[in-house]
Amino acid sequence: MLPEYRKILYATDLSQNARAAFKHAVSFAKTYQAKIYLVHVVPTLKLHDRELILASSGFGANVPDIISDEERLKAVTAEIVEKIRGRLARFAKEELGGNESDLDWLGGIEVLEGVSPTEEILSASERLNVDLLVFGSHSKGVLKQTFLGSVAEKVLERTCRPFLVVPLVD
Amino acid sequence: MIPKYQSIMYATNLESCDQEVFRHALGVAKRYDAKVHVVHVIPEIEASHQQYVQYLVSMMGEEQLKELGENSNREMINKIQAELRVFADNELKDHPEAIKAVASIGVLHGHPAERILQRADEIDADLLVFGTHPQEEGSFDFLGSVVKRVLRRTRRPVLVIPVCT
Repeated sequence: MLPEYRKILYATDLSQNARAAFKHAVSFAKTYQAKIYLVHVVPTLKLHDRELILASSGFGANVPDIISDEERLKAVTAEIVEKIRGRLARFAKEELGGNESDLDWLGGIEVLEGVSPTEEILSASERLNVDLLVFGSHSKGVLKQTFLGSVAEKVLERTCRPFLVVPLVD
Repeated sequence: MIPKYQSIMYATNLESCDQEVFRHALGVAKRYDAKVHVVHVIPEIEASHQQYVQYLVSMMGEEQLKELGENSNREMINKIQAELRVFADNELKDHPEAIKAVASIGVLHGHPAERILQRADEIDADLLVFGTHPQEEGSFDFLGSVVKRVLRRTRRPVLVIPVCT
């Protein structure tokens, strides 16, 4: 039996190299009739992060002052998660093609919140039972070495599932 | 542009668990109608053994040693070919034609990561396929140093197949 890929987890940090990798995820999805799950992990906010975010953006503008810090934190995180989900949905639509039927390749968009992106991605891969993970890597520095990114590398060290690494070619 | 793979490089260490990795390489090749180039690298002789090689050269003469090397290369290629045939007979009963995707078998000598990168350039691979092998508990070299080096330096997509037991 030759292996089939039915569910593809595409992990994105919203960077340019992740964008390049998505094209490969789409190629696999269309070739294998597979579904792509877009996964992004929002690191759990700490109180002082929240202050920074509040200071530098419009997040939390609608959150009333009277609730506790914990609740404010939750509300701000929910706002960020929704914003990123919307951004990923637009991105998927753009990349998959303009037709409604092109969105059939999309299995889901998961914006997860967690302390460790590695753990979140690993547990999402278990929960969704994907048979392929797709990550981007990027090159930088004078030596033009490609960097897998610490999250991708940690996931790769621990997963038992096939894993596609796509370097960004500039 | 949605990428289509045409030239796949499968690097093998000839371990039996690599069959699972080969299966993925062939599977992708079949789906994309791509060619598979099989590569096996025999690590270069360590510096500590160089003296021994010098000794052999002095005993056998350079010509004879070269011939010996070429013979062992041929033997290695024959061995890989035989293994691929067995694999096709046993494992690909439903897709025996998939093995036809194998376009070349190369046995190379030298630094594994260097040779693999070089070979990938030669065949202009658009996908590299590697296996990784989980080692003993607590080992930090799960990925394998060769795969790590290649990942760090290649500009080509790499499909890593962990062979977990």
